[in-house]
Amino acid sequence: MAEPSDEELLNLYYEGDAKAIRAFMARHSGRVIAYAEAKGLRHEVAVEVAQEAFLKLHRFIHQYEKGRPALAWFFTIVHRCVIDSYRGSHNRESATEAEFFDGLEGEESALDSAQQDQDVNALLEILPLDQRKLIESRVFEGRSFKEIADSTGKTEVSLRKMYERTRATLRAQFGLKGKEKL
Amino acid sequence: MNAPESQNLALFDKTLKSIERDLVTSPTRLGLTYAAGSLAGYFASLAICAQCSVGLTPVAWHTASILHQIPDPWCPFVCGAIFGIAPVIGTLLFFNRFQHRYLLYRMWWLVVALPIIVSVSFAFAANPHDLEWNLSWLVTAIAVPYLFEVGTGFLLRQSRWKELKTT
Repeated sequence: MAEPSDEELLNLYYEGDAKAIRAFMARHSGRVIAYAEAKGLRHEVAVEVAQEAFLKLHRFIHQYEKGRPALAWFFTIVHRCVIDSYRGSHNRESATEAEFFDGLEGEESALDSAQQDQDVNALLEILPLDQRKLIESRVFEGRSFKEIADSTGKTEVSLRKMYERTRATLRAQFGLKGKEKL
Repeated sequence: MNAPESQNLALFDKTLKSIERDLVTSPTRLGLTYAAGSLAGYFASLAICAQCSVGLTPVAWHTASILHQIPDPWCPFVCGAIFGIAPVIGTLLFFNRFQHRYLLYRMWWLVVALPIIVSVSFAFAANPHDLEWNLSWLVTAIAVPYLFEVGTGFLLRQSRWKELKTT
């Protein structure tokens, strides 16, 4: 008999079938760990992230819409857990490019090429001090613009503008480095 | 399940167990719990209000005497509703949303059959009322748990039944 698809497993799981989540977990736990590790997490942290992702799946399974690709939906949860894991640890040393690039939405192509070998710390060195601090607060520490504005005395609007400028600078820098590699 | 899959699963043993606690591992056990909970609910309703000459407590007879003052077209409906609603409330206390969904979507036949079996059996046992009264009582006693379960099913579906419009 053919094995049930991921969508069928999530449907059965939604209906309360314990066998379905066991099968889904067995099928994808390895993939989730590999995904978290590919984002720069250590194996132990990746396992914790995977556990958190499955618990979140349990909490939000009612939001899974029938007919939606199961794996893509599930990996949005996994992705959020990876980001939460980075934000939870306020340790810049342990943060890697993946988290950094998550903060810089839309730079997926840059992420793919730069993720492997670029050092975020070195890239940040090119930035002026206030921009570097903004990136650290916003991306590495996961603080909101309002929180940063409160602590720095600047307005949210000016911080957002500075953030966009910094993104543009980094984007240009990534482009240069990419060309150098070629 | 192949070897790497079971190896991965071992890492998640604790997580899996905490999730499985909410789910249905044994349909037989769920069915028996539902049947037992429903029967306990029917007994509870007979302890609250005497029905068809059966009352389990003095309070039940007192409630029944008050309800019998209601004009006849309404008395059987009220009595039947009280008889039918108690087991449903009982099951709400026993089951979480996953177990309730399993019951409604996978073991619906039990939810359909149980009120019919219990209500019909009870109506045929020592009943002093006429046919019209009995039929009104029976229809209410069966319809009330059905309506309640349909309402529960509607609430439990949440966003799940929203089919994607895009293909």
